[in-house]
Amino acid sequence: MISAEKEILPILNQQELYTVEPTHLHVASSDIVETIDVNVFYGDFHALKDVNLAIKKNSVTALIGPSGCGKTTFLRLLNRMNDYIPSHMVRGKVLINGVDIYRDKIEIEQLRKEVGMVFQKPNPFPKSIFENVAYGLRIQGIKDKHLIHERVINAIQQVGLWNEVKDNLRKNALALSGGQQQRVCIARTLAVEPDIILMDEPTSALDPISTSRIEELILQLKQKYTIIIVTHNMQQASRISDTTAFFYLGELIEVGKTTDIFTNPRNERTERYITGRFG
Amino acid sequence: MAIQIEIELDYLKSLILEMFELVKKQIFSSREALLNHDHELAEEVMRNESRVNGYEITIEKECESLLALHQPVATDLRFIMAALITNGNIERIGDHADKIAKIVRDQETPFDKELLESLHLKEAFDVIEEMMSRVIASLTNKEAGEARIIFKLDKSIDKINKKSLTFLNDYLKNHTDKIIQALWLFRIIGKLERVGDVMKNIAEEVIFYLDAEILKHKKLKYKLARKNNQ
Ligand SMILES: Nc1ncnc2c1ncn2[C@@H]1O[C@H](COP(=O)(O)OP(=O)(O)OP(=O)(O)O)[C@@H](O)[C@H]1O
Ligand SMILES: [Mg+2]
Repeated sequence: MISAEKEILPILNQQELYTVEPTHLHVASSDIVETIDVNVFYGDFHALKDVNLAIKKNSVTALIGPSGCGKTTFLRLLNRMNDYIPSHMVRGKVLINGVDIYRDKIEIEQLRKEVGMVFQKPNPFPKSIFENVAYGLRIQGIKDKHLIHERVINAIQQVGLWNEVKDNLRKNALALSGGQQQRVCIARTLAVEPDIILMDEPTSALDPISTSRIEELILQLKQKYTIIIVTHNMQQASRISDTTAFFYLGELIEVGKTTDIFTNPRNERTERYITGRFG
Repeated sequence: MAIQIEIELDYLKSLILEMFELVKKQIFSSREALLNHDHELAEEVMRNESRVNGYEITIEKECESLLALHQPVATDLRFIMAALITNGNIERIGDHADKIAKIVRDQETPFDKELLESLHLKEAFDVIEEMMSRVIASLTNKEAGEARIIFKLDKSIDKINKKSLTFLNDYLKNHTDKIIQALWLFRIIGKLERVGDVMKNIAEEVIFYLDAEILKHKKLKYKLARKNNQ
């Protein structure tokens, strides 16, 4: 016994020393989303042009650019939300967790579970708060009542809504304020435990207080999730994102650390856009 | 059509340039007062000091409102940051001009011409003025080249400062009657040396604004980096 301990302990200790090494590997594979030479067409219209963008796990990426530049198109590309548009065509590779979602065999439902989406306008269903948050789980076919209950409550707590709604989870979600509704929608996305959350102007319909609560929430969520957010609010992009990507006329003009983009952008068009000199 | 922030930034820039020109004139006048024993001019410099301070306050307010109301980014943000720091620094140069003028005003007898010449006071003032002209040109033309020359110019002021000490060491042995005058002039050279340093700070800010390059403490960072790599 004692001798075995004597032999094993040094090995265990040594192993501890080596645990530093693998972080290197971790860094190399930390891109959870990667697009390679992606082109998107709506019929003849060339909406995204050779977009190459890599997004790190547990980061917040802001997509900015003038109206019609392709931000929403890019976002919807990542969970195949545009599949139902007949004229929509994609060229190039879109890798999510290393899987090419337009070529490899994948289940759309599984993809939507991994890549959740929050829309510009809060879109709760005319159902109870509880059922709104449970919606994704039911679609997934989860029947376990305990699991559903746990996930729903967990999600409501994560979005900071618990104290406000805990006594009437059966209340119709449409009776909530806009900011509360948007948090219910975020909770609905969180309940299915995705890896990536896409947000398309999630606060554009909200007042400053609701907006700042959602921004705080985003900063908390990035511990567990990877967030990609479209915003027209430059201050919002600079407050909450780690990386900012500027799109213009379907091209990814510049991407970089948010602090760099907002203090010293490399591209003149980026500079003109963020300083409000566009057009 | 110019947007509102552009109008305000142009206004801020014009304020900075006006203040700069005023302080440059203050330095020039304090030099003339010193070399010509001109008490009236010295008094004028002292009177103008309050105008310099007035500019400082106006510029600070303008920066404050730009930051609060326009949430500037990129080059706009860099310009306002540079303007804020430059503002305080120009004001310090104004202070030095004022102090030099006071020294001149308090002298009953004119400074010894030979002593003035041997200490290269006129040259030191000239270098400061050249520094100021170059930074003003740099700001006006949005071109960092002129500002980069400041670092070389600063070295020549340091040289004059060092030389003055060795010169006085010999000179005072035979001119004990000039000790007080020599001390005053040595003090003025010290002030000019500090003005040179302040101009270096300003040049760093202007370069930061125009080229987004951070020069501040570059040597120190370089040393630290080398130390860490060893
Ligand atoms: N279903 C569609 N059919 C045809 N063209 C489309 C379709 N959806 C988008 N487009 C076109 O693709 C371009 C990019 O649209 P997208 O919605 O991605 O822009 P956006 O950057 O999100 O703009 P906004 O800031 O206004 O939301 C636009 O020119 C748009 O007209
Ligand atoms: Mg859009």
